[in-house]
Amino acid sequence: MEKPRYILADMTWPEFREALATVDLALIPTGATEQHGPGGTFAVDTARADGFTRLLAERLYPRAVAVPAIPFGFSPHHMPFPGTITLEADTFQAVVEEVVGSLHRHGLRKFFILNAHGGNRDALDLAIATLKDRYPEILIGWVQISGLVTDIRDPDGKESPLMGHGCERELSQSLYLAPWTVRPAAMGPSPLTDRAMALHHPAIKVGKTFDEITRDGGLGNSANASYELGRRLIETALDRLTDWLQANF
Amino acid sequence: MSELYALAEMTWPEFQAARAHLEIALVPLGATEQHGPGGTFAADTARTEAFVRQLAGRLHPKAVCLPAFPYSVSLDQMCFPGTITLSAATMTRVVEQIAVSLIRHGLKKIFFVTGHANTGPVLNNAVANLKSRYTEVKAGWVYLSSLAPDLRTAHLDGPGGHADEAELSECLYLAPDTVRIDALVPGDPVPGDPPLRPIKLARPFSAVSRNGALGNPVSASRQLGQMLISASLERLEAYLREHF
Repeated sequence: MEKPRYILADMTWPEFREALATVDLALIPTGATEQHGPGGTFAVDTARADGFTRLLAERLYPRAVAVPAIPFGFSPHHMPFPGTITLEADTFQAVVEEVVGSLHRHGLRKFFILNAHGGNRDALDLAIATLKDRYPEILIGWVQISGLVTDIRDPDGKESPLMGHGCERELSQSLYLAPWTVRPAAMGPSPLTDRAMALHHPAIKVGKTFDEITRDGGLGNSANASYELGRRLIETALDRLTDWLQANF
Repeated sequence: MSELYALAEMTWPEFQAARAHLEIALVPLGATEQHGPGGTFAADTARTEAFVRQLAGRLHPKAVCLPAFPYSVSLDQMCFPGTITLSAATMTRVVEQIAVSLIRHGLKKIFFVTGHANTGPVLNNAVANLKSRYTEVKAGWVYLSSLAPDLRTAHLDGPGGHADEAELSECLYLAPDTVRIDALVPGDPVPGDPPLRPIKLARPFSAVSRNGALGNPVSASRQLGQMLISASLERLEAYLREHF
């Protein structure tokens, strides 16, 4: 039996109106349609954001409703890899602002965005600042799902020096949340370019495309991904975020 | 399920290998919009995605189906709680930028299928913009429920409209989870004369129907949906093969 949760896509309007008696928080998943190396499909980010948000909606039932995931993001740095779709940053930002604006019209005042794609970060910073200025009475925030659990390490110590995309940490989450987005037979170490580490300076920012960093579109060694690591990352992230939202939102 | 290319289910090396056959990108466009007491907010998105997947199967290996975009311009439905709308300007940019990404990957034919009729004006503008910017590219669109007007006339009791028996029948066939069989009730139109054709009036949908539906959703059936969709798929496939 599925745990109860409010998923907007699965409701009718009279059901949503009824749910508004207890719902005070909208959860908005943001993904991307972007290459994830040979081991992950274009849906890795969207499916992970959506899957995480559905589990969060269960934990926050009956006060939260999950809206449909935004499946395209800001991915210009992945365009050298065929199949990637990108919006311009201000378009993605506008989509987020207008989804929140619609929910605000229906009376919601608390909004939280669950982001699974690093490229969306700056647009999300701008979107929540813009929305807070437009609707001063609201509470609004966003989080990078993986950022909640940077301290959770692989128990076997199998970790690559440069991770963050199509890597063992990301695809472990996918194995747990959306296994259909992973190609176990194609997983393995991603060869870096000679310039990769120089382009990842901790302070200096340089415009770059992903083919300047990695030859196959991934980072790290996705062969070290595991369902068990994914379960620990996701369940811990859910624990922490649920506690934080219940205390602060 | 027949074989098809669905971008969300591919990796980039798989897409690169498929590109040898690929000619056309099919982009499903939905909405998150009320569909009366009998249909969920996903009626447009889920129905369109399922339709385009079938279309991609029929055109395999020449076509790839993109992830469905789940929001559109639904301004007139905002009077019903839960509906989400984008502005027309934003939706136009989303549609154009999806196409531009595909064009950058070498695709020359982009076809949008919308399950939400009110995305039409946005698509007309976007297709015109794309055509003027990329003269070598073919871009087109269709409202998926407009492909079989003859069958609608033959099998529907009245003119219907939003969330009517035809639309919910399509949903029952393509995405049955979006229909509440037990909650199907007749549409509740607001009495009064419709505006004189071809005059257009902007008005909230609650001024057209009190429960968000028109027609007689109670008579929706999977069978009617299958008939409408099979004919629509056949016609659209034939058109795309011959003219696009």
